[in-house]
Amino acid sequence: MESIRLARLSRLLEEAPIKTALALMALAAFIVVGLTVLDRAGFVSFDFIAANWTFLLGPAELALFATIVSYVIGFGFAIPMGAARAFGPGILKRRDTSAWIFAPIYGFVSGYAEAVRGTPVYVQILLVHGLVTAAVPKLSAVSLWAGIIALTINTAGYQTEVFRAGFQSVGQGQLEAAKSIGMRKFQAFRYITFPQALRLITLPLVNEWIALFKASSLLSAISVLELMWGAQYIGVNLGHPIDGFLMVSFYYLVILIPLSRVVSYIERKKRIPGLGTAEPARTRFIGFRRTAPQDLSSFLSESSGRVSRDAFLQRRVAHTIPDGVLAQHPSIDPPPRERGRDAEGSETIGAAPRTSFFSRTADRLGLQSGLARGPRRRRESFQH
Amino acid sequence: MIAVRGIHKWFGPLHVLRGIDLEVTKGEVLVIVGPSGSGKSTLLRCINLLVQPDEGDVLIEGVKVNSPKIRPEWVRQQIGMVFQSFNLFTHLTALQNVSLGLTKVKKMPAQEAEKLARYELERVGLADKASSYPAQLSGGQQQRVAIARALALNPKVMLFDEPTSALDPEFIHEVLDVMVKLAEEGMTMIVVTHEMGFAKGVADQVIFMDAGQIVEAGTPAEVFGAPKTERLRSFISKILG
Repeated sequence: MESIRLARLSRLLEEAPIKTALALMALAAFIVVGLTVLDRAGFVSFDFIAANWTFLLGPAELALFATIVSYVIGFGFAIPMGAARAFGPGILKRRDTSAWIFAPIYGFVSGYAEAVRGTPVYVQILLVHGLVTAAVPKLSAVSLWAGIIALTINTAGYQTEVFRAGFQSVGQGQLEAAKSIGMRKFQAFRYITFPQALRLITLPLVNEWIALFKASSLLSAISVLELMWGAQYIGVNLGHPIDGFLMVSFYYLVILIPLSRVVSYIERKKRIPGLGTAEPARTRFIGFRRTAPQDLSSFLSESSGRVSRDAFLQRRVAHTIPDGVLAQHPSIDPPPRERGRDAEGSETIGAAPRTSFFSRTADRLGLQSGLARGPRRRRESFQH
Repeated sequence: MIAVRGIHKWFGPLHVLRGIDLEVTKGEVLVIVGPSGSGKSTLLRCINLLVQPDEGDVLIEGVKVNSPKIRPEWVRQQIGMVFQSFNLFTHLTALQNVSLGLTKVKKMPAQEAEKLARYELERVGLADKASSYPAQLSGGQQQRVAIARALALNPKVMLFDEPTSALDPEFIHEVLDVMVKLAEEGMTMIVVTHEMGFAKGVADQVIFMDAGQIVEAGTPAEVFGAPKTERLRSFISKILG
């Protein structure tokens, strides 16, 4: 009996939600303990942080503004430039005038992408700032404009390469099929290549947003009043450098972590089988699955909304096994277990009453514990 | 209906098609057989101009279509093509795969296109799979959707490039059934295949190609029953194993 309990416990610990929860708790404990030690030792002042944490709200807003504007404009430029990079070699091979017209465009885009990726973003920011202030010294908020232009130039180069990779990874067969139904080249790009590529590159595009947001911290060098500037102000003018950088780290984390989680959630939610994102993990968002997985939805029993194991198995095998055989098959129609009485005194048949701590807790939380969930998800296969 | 006159095609130094002539009349089924690398697929691709022939003419209803004056997109709308590897659009459902050409190429209103697409899916026996994505379908089902996609544009001729070669044996017959039905309905078809049963049962003409040339041509009985050349005899014995 004891060994069965241990086996059940160890299986439960393998469940992803439990693992996630344990990991998060350990992380939180580590941070709290570490900060408390630093506070006691006098390196960090909780009182100062508590009194001044709103100071960075304005800078955070400005950093977000600069990043979002640059990213969106860069995105717009990156689509045609990525297409030029991806399809350029093919066009250059043609033996007509279009190759000659296209050659300088391809040369410019390639040189641009190489230049942006081959120089530090810090240099780019200072260079653009120098040029912009020299050209229009009287412009108000000239630093912010220069910063946005520099970040736009930078992210356009990186996103160009992301789009190039995305366009190149859409199979040749897809294009041939598009042509075979009479689509023009631009239509094939618009309706086939582009939407497929976008799904394939969602993750690199999010990574680029994260990298750009962090790169925006360098705008402090041209006195844009963004997060990093705020941290330096706290350090230099208020005399709390460690507190300032700790606070700014917290701001970056609070902005970036939820963003990437939300995007990967949407990515999984909107996924198309066989394209881009892998099959959703068995966990959702932070960890707990509240409803039955989607591809089992047709097996939901109408009354409870839960997966009925028998219905699931019967439907799965119904098309391969004739009716008469099905009725007697032991794995589909298990012999009833011993009858007993549950807590309310009503008769129970079939599944043993759930008694473990975990399953009771899971019930209270409205979750299905791993043991009660029934058959594990199978690899997605085609439907018959 | 469809005629090919003296087609040559080079891929670099490789002379893939060495002067092909053939003619298919309306409602006829032409089966092309031959060892791999003999230029069968390239010939099909030349007919719908996915590959531009270097020499020779492709005529559809007497019009030379491989001329600079005619847009290849227009030609391809008249010709349905089914690929060995299905090539369904992976980001679209079965229904969207079929209706995309109607809305974007034929500029049909969305509702009308959907109705027609559903009808085409029903024709290939997949009305219930309209909302499935290609990755959720078996190979046979994917190929039937691909046939429906080509049929939706109401083509004058259908080209099949080894439509069953990438399929598991259990799914081959469902695709062949659809093709037999199409042939019975009077569709003009050019089929590259190794399915001897289909060729014998359905074809009006059979062409045996080798090394970019037509080696033998005739009715199935002539070509399979009384092969004249050694090359065809050895090919048949290999195919029948």
